[in-house]
Amino acid sequence: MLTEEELISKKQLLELTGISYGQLYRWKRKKLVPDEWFIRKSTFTGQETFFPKERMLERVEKIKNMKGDMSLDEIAGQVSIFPTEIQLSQQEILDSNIVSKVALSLYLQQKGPLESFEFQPLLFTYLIDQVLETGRVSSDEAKMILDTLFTYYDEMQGKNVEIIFIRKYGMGCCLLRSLPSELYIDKETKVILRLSVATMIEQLKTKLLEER
Amino acid sequence: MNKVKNGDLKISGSGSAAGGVFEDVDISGSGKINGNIDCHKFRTSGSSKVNGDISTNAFKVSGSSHIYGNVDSEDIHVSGNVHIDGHVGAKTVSISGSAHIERHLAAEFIEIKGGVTIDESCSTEVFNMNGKFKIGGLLNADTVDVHLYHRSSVKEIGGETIKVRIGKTAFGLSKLFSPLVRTELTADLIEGDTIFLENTTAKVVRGNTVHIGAGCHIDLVEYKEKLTRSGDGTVRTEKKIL
Repeated sequence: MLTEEELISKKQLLELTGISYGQLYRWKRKKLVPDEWFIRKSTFTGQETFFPKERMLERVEKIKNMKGDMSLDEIAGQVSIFPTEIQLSQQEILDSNIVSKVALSLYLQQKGPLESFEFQPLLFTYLIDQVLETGRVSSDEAKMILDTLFTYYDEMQGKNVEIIFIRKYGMGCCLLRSLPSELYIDKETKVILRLSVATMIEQLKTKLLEER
Repeated sequence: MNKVKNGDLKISGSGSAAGGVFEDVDISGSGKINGNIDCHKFRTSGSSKVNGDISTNAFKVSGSSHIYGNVDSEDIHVSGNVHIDGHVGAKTVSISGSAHIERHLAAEFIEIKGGVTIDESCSTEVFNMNGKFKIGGLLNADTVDVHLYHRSSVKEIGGETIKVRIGKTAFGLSKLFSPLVRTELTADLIEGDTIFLENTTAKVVRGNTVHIGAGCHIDLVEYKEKLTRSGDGTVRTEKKIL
């Protein structure tokens, strides 16, 4: 089974970050923290709430930083997994260094010429760029991932999706799974890479925001 | 921009109609609508049934109404009785009478005089309650201000300021409810920055400043700054969080 993340209890989180119950519940209401991050576990004092530690601490930092010049609703838009409205030309994309030239040309080669990029093609290019950057997959395999994303994009909408690339005896294979779910793989199969689409969307949105 | 003005849908007496896009929907008497409704104003007095979702700016029920779908409205006003099978999304919700929502209620301002049952959870900035309520999931609100007039229950409450008090009998509302049942709120968990409780039975209460008043039975209180007490309230275990 793929390894689980380290968790942090609500009490520890508040202590560590200095945020209050009021703030945490407000962020939950405004969807600044996704509902699936609130993980229920039984402890000796009854039910307690835990969070994925690393992602939650990162998110709290991010919200604290953004809170100065953005409203909570704007931050919610920033961290949500739903697309934002953008329109960028190829040149603008390259100039802003959001994706590499290699990833961009791979996308265009695979999907045909595109005048301007909206969120979805930009996200796919970004994902491919991230995949290639790991150095663990070939460009043909990256194309396979791109095709898989294309085929299932509509079904992925609004879900927390993870891209998994596995290889057995040199044969690569791309999986998409919606989280939370468990996955069991045979021992001889190597997990080459795992990429959370939600995290990538968030990263991409942050980069776009910095560009503006 | 050209705006096409849609027609109104009016049912008076007894009648049924199909859903659709309207300017105003007005049902008086007994009416039934089959299908989704998208309109500017939805008003029903008497008794009505809607087999579908309603999307509107103002949703007003006087009398009794059963909506078999979701309701999405800027403003919701109920005097009488409403049953909604689906989710409810609104800015302001005001209920005098009773409401039963089978799914989630999301709003910004909720004011209730009477009773409300929400099978799932409720999220709002302000939750003002006079009467009784039953919430199957989490009540998540910045400000929770409850005056109890009857037995109420909620799984969890989370927010900034949470106040639960026993309702004043002079208010007159208590006459409506049976005096035989103990007026209390039961909850599994209450978490907030400032908490004031009366007549509350809870397993766990966590907050910065917590006041446990008369009629409370709390298994565990965890507080950061201050724990005060009044009346005959009991706390089995208290812990100061450092």
